[in-house]
Amino acid sequence: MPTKTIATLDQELNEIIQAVEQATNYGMAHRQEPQVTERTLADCEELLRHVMDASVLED
Amino acid sequence: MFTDKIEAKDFAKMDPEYQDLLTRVLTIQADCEIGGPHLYVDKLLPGAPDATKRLVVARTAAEEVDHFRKVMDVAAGIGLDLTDLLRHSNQQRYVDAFRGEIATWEDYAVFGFLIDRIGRYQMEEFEGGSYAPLDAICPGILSEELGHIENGRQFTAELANGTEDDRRRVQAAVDRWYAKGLDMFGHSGSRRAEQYIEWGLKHRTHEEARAEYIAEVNPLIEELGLQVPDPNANRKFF
Repeated sequence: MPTKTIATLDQELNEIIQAVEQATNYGMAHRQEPQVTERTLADCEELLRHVMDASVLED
Repeated sequence: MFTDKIEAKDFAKMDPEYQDLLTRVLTIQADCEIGGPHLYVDKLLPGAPDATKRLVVARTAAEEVDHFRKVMDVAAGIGLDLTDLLRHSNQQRYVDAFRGEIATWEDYAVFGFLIDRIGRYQMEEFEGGSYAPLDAICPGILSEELGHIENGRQFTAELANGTEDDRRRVQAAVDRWYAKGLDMFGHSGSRRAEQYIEWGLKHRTHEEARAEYIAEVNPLIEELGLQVPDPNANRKFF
């Protein structure tokens, strides 16, 4: 499996982290709206999945 | 004791013992940072008790991934590639506490309360240390670890103030993680710990850090109305 450069991986991890942080901020601000929160959590799961299954390393 | 400040450009000129110790400590730190989310994301991101707590799990995981990224970048500065740690299974983790899975809310709560606190102790070791790029990332990581610890304390307190079954389950989690936590400080009398101190990479021996942790955390456990476990029970290292 080809491995990205560390600089590229750093950038992509940072984008994932920022996206999850923005999503959780949005989710917290709308936590009285279950449909919004569920969508936000689904986004977070999908984003974090790229790190948890190491697919972020793939080109 | 070594008091110089070392930058990445100086690394190749350093004593091989310093190079080995720094390589080791960065590898273990990065492994622990990414090991945390691998313990709990699978089960607790979908399975925490309510949506707000699920958001906390997601946010905490993202922050731990960010800590991994920062340590990975420091390691890259000395030519050390830690990216493969992302592929490691939980069973491949360096530290025993990260080799299992967190599947219950009480374990997640107590992990934050007790084990993230040890993460704070570990980062404090590097603060003001001889390797400047590692020292530089400490404040940001420590600030977020304090948030994780407080979340863990609050969630543990909720369970301790809950039903009889809640209290029984959270006490059992405290019993599990307290022993793992004390082991995380490593063997007392460790020669390697002395080398870290001699080279200015850490400040405390294993036994000093463990004693400080016990003095800090035991009253906090008691404040929640929980019992402090026997410090000798279920231990692997002393």
